[in-house]
Amino acid sequence: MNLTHFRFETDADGIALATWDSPGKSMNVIDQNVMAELNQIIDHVVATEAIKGCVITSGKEAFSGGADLTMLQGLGMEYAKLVKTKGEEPAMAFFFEATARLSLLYRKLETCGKPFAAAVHGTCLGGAFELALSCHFRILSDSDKTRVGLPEIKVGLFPGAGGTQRVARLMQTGDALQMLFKGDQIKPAAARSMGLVHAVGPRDQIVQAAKEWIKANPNAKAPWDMEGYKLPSNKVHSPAGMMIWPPANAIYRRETSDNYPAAKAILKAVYEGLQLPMDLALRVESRYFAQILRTPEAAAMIRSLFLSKGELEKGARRPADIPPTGQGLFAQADVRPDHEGPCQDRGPRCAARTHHAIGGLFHAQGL
Amino acid sequence: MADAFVYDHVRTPRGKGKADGSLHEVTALRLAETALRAIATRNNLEKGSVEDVILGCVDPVGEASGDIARSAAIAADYGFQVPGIQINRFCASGLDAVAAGAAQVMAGQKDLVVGGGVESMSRVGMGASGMLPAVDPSVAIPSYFSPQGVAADLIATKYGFTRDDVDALAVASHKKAAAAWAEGRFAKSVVPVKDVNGLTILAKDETIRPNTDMQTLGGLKASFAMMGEQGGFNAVAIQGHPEVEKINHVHHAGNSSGIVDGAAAVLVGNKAAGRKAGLKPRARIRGFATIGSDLALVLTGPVDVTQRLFARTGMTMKDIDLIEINEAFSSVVLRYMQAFDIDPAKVNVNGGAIAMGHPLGATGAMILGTVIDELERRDLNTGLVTLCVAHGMGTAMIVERV
Ligand SMILES: CC(C)(COP(=O)(O)OP(=O)(O)OC[C@H]1O[C@@H](n2cnc3c(N)ncnc32)[C@H](O)[C@@H]1OP(=O)(O)O)[C@@H](O)C(=O)NCCC(=O)NCCS
Repeated sequence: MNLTHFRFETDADGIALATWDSPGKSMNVIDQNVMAELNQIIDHVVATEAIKGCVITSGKEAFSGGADLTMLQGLGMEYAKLVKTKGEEPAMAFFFEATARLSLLYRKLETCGKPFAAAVHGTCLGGAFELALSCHFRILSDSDKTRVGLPEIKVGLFPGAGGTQRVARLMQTGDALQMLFKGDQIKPAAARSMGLVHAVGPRDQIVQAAKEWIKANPNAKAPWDMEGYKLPSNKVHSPAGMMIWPPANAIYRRETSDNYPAAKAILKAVYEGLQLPMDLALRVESRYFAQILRTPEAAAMIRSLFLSKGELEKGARRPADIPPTGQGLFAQADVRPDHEGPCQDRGPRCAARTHHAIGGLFHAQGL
Repeated sequence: MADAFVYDHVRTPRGKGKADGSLHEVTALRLAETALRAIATRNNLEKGSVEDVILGCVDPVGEASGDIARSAAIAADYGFQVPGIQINRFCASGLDAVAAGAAQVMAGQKDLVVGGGVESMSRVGMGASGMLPAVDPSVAIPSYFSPQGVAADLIATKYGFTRDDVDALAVASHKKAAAAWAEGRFAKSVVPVKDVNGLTILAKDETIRPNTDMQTLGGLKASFAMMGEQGGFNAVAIQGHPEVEKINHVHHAGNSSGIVDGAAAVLVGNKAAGRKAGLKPRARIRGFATIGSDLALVLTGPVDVTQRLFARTGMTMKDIDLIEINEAFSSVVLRYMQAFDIDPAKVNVNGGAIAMGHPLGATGAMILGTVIDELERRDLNTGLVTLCVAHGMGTAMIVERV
């Protein structure tokens, strides 16, 4: 194998350890190269008889922040170009294939026939946590720095590499939807009690524990690939489902006024996916993922809330001569920390409240 | 176009739709069979002469599954030549079944059919067949789906009906139904449900409470407040109708349609079929219509469909002598009367589903029968029947005596 993002070694028991440590970066992120290497690792583990299974861990202080959003943006631009040169259908075919690739890779890992385990310390979010979810065993360090979660929704996306399907098969549907909607970063103990991971242990013991697990489970399969697997909340179309889905749809509208395509796509992907075997469920998820990636809402949110977040916080494009208005987030987000001057509102009392909400550098001025 | 006539109609009594209801021991098949057998027997229908049996059934699963209309026709000894079809337009299914039969008669494709419906709510259970429009996000969200009770409360709030208004209508429903029974106004059409030995299991509607008054109703707790609040449906209702600030939950067990078991059958045919069978037509079907209506209000379809039907028939409310509008919930009836400024003395003169219950798939056929009987009794001419329908629809039919 020719690896630069992973170190790969196999111990005397035949258990491999793939240590993710992308050179020259403070944080591991998933890009095309990492995907290609992960693919090689899976093939190698499967093909090498002496290897019983593989633990994936990180060589950095964090596990990984997930997929490289600029990669997704790049695919979007490629798609736009192809639409012009080749037409809508071929462009879409390319885009779907490209955006489903990570999900298929994780599914390949999950069904490769040999056990994989994730030993996670530090931040493990988004596509990285989806990698962990596709492993047969997940153990987290009990460190205060360790966090898992699927925060995609916060930038107008949703987990498109199996996250919606695996989470919805690990916990009650209502809890799964809440987790996917909130996008919270979850601490180890909570992740354990939610059923997202199997174990929590001291940082220096998680790799060993993962290896022990592999030794004890040579023929690991995901629960949903085993005979007799039952969904945590029973079937979608069942009395149990009637208690879940009508309020879930209503609460989506209550919380978003139906202005949040990614949240709606989560509902649809989970609703449809839970009625399917895993491979088809993942394909349905991928279809919605490709759709959401192309929405203007997602593009704008990725740009504003992620790519341009630094600039936004500095108020980079804020006209200097307009004073902050209103008492809410809007005004607060609008303020350049170094800006001094008036804040205005429709009357002196409102302006005073604006002033109070924003902090000291401003003086109130009624309109 | 041929005329479609109603030659006769029957219904079973409505039994309380719970385990302690009198019809709980009776299968849905047996209920439907009872109605079909009665209408065939009392009209001396020749075996095999009915060309189709169309039955509404909203939860056609379990013992009501597999096209219960065909099963019921066979059980009622109609002859193997008589096919059956089960349809579902929720609460209007029974009326839509009659309309579907009438349409085929009018189109000259059939001469004699039976339309009607059946629902054993105590045995099969409301919602037993699932509720796609509530469940699949792809339809629930754009539909502003909310449960019908919450929608009924939205209607009351939007159109200004107070708890007293909706309760008063419920009191009237019980009083009118009790009086109608006392005077034998239903006697002509209600056929008892009997056991295999001919012993009567139930001969009268079972849920009427003649003593219902404002005080007792005032003590009942709103049924849909918790669901509306915790399930998020109040917010959905308000997003559909943003001028409403807060849902006033006024509906409860006493002013909502009762959950009951029952079946009905209506014999429809053209002139020649009637002559051949030696029957006199009791009413002509003047027209019918269905419509989709406001999704968040869910239950205001009767207003929209009545307008459509008036446009189609060139009639107006002035031409209508009696109205049966299904008492799904009090506010549905109040809104209907408000929209057309109708004299309450013309509406549901023998009570309705609040008192006697609403066996979902059958009710439309039942209240069609009720209006025909009452037109005859009062010697009036024209009746209108309409029902609100889940997921924002409505069905209506106008009949006139001949
Ligand atoms: C409203 C609804 C939820 C109530 O269901 P429920 O609580 O099971 O109703 P019940 O018949 O058991 O009545 C509840 C209570 O109200 C009381 N009550 C009902 N009508 C009453 C009346 N007229 N006078 C005095 N008390 C009355 C009952 O005695 C009962 O009290 P109890 O519990 O002390 O015996 C149910 O009837 C319903 O869903 N109706 C609508 C059906 C529907 O949606 N149809 C399709 C669409 S139109």
